[in-house]
Amino acid sequence: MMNCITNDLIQRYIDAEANSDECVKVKTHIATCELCRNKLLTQEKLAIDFKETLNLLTKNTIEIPPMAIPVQVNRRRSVLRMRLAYALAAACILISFVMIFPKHEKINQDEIRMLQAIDEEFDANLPVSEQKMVINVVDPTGKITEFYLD
Amino acid sequence: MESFEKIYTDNYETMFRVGRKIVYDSDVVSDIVQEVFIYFFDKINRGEKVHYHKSWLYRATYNKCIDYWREKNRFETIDLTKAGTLEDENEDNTDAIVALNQVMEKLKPQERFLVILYSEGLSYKEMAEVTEMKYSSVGKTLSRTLKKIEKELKYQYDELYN
Repeated sequence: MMNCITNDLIQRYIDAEANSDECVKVKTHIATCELCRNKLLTQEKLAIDFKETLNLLTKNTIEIPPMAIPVQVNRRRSVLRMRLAYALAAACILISFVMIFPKHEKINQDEIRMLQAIDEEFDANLPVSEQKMVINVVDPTGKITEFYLD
Repeated sequence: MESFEKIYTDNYETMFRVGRKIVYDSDVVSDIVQEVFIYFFDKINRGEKVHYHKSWLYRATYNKCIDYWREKNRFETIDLTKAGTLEDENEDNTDAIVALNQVMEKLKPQERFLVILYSEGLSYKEMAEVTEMKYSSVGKTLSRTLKKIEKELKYQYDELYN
């Protein structure tokens, strides 16, 4: 029992991960020790059974979907680019409106302007018909006409 | 750096299988794998370096699956093991799978990850890289975990039929 091989070594031997010295050690040992030989067999069976059972879960052939990632990333970029294009177009239209229809500085006024000014004191208590009023009317030519209302 | 297409086709299947062994819903797993690849692609595009893309991808898949599992368990307490497995496999082996899954869920996360990778046929070196475990302790942990699984399975079997 003293020189029996460890479970760790058996496992590595099963999975072909043991180095050549260890392999020799295992082989010579199991040739003489029945206990370890059985141990190796059961451990090997366990490993194989485990793998088989777990792989039943994925025994159906897996279809690899076409790679969609680069396309997706490009789409995201193109959306940004489109958005930029729209924004630029809108800005251009706005600017062209401003350029085509510039603001008119001069206002052509045809109507008569009426200025109302209160120069004298007036009594707000009097009825409207008795109040004095001056109305200045400005013609388009700039001539001012005064009307007195008594 | 290999081309992205090659990484994708080389690793997709294994990633899917790893995910499938943790989350029992194929649709969810394919979503998760896609997500991992998108993240991976963004990462590469941003110029970040991934030294061992294989281990990075496996680890990311595993973590995502665990996250999904936790999130799901937060809201649902139904036994998903049975429901998930029974839906698409109506064969004799279903019982064995269900039992094994129940045992697997009792394992520590790292042990579980290790045996899943083991069932995928990875070498000890690769397993050590992916699980960030010491190379020298992989064999030990593996043999111990397999023993544990066997013991638990036996216990379950005894409970069921005796």
